[in-house]
Amino acid sequence: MSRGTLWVGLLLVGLNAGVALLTLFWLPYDPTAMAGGRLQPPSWAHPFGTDRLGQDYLTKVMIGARIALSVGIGAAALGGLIGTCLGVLAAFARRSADDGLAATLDILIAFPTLLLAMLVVAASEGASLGTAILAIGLAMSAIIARLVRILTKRVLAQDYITAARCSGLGWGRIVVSHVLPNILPTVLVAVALQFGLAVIAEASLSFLGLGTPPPNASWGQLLQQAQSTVFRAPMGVIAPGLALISLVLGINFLADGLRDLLDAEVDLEEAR
Amino acid sequence: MARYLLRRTIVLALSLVVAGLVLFVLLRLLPGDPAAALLSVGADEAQIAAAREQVGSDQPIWVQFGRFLSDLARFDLGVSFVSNQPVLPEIMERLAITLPLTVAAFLLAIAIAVPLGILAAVRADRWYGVAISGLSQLGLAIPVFWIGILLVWLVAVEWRLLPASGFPMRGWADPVAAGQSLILPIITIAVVMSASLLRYVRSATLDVLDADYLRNARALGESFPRALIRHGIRNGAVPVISILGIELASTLLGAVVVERVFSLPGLGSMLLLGIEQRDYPSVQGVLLITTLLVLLIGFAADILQRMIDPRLRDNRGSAR
Repeated sequence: MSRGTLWVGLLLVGLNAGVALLTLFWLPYDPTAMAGGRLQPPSWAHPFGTDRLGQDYLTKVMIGARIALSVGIGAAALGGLIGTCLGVLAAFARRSADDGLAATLDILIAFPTLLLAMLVVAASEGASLGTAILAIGLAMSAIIARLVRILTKRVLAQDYITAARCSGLGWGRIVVSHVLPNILPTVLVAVALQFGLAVIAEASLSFLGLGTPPPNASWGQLLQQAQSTVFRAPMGVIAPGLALISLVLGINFLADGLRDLLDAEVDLEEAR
Repeated sequence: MARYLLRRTIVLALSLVVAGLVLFVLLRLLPGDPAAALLSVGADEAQIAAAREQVGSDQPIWVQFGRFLSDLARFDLGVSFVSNQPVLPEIMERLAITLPLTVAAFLLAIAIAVPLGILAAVRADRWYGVAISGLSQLGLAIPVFWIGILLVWLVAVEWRLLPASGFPMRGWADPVAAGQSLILPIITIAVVMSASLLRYVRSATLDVLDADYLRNARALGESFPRALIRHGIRNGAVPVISILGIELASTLLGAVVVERVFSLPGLGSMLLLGIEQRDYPSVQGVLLITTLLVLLIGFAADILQRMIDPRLRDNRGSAR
């Protein structure tokens, strides 16, 4: 059963990744040019139809896969890195500093991703791929940091850490050779789960007009534009939505399968 | 309990101050002078200076923060740069849409998730138990605005059952129209929210099913449903309540997106408009009020948890 989830996840994510890579070399149509009539129904030439400017929906959905994966990977890398560093530091810090950091993280976590992202976008010169990654990555880092802090403390309470200390190992070495290898599987699973949420967060941001600007439009922006023409060209709403769901579902399956494979003992609900 | 209540209240007050500070700093970090929102293109030096004085951005930042705190203490959230109206009354007016929307969606989500979640756990070996779990997994992957767009298309445009978007001009003075315009948004939020809630209810129920006290109750002759209701729900509710608090808070903020789908003039659209127009007092006001609500929800969830679970109640000192 769990192996099955892993494979289905791999398949769905691989499909999206394949399409994303393909867009770097080949596209069915120029995304900025008029490729056919306006609001055409699906046909062999345009499997998802065309939008109100006569641009091909399939092309746009394919580009959307690239945007979603870029933001997801960027945010996961940023959030995972910052979160792990902060979490380990907090676990090692003196009691008062640790308490302060933990309380700050709790407040940051209560502050939802979307609002944080809005602030980052408002603070920068305008929305771009970078602001979306930064905003979502920062929000993610607080959640990862809280998890890493708990995991690290759990490792540090073990007898073998005391033994390592007694044999003269410095804290730096302990982090590298004992803490990180022990917490890594769980952190990996948590980051994978956050990846899926990051893709949804990016879509929401673009839907609100705070994501990547065209022509590199993400699924969220496609949906926002297609909303007003849904009664004439429903595929414009259905296709990007299904693409997004396939990617997020794939990532979630992958994370679930990974957890069983790596035997990460963390409560996944806790890591969300 | 009284001692915990006191401590938790202090934490609440402290978090509020910290959140206010964070918001103040973040908003001041934004490039550009807030006074620019008041000026038209090509304003001369004197106009710029006057605008800066009106906004207060000519003062050093600590003076600005002091003024901000003293205003807050008097419940004065400032005056919008754009409309020149006080911010707080507008927030209250918009809360009259966002709050009912959030609370109704939340209640509906609970009404869906709790029975289905328990069913999915108790009947985990039947096809419908598996199907319910699968559906909730699917629900986690669906963005809320997508459901919203589809519902507008099907229910409002194709079948013409309900209004597609907007809110009646007269607001709640026209209760039928106002209620009708909230039905689709409520369903939209509830569908997505119940998916994640269902998973928590299911895993909490699975934990309860394994518990010794349930087996003992059965051994003492209680029927299975009765044992589950008498012992299971109270035990299972403890972890679920803290999740409920988080979910309610995220629903409140997720309403931003749903309000956009349905063109509802709620708190979310005020925030978006404020960001677009660089209207600092509006943005700050909305964020402060939502943060306050989020913190209050967390507070209530913690207290409720203690009331249900005596083990937490008696555990003095470092309960965290």
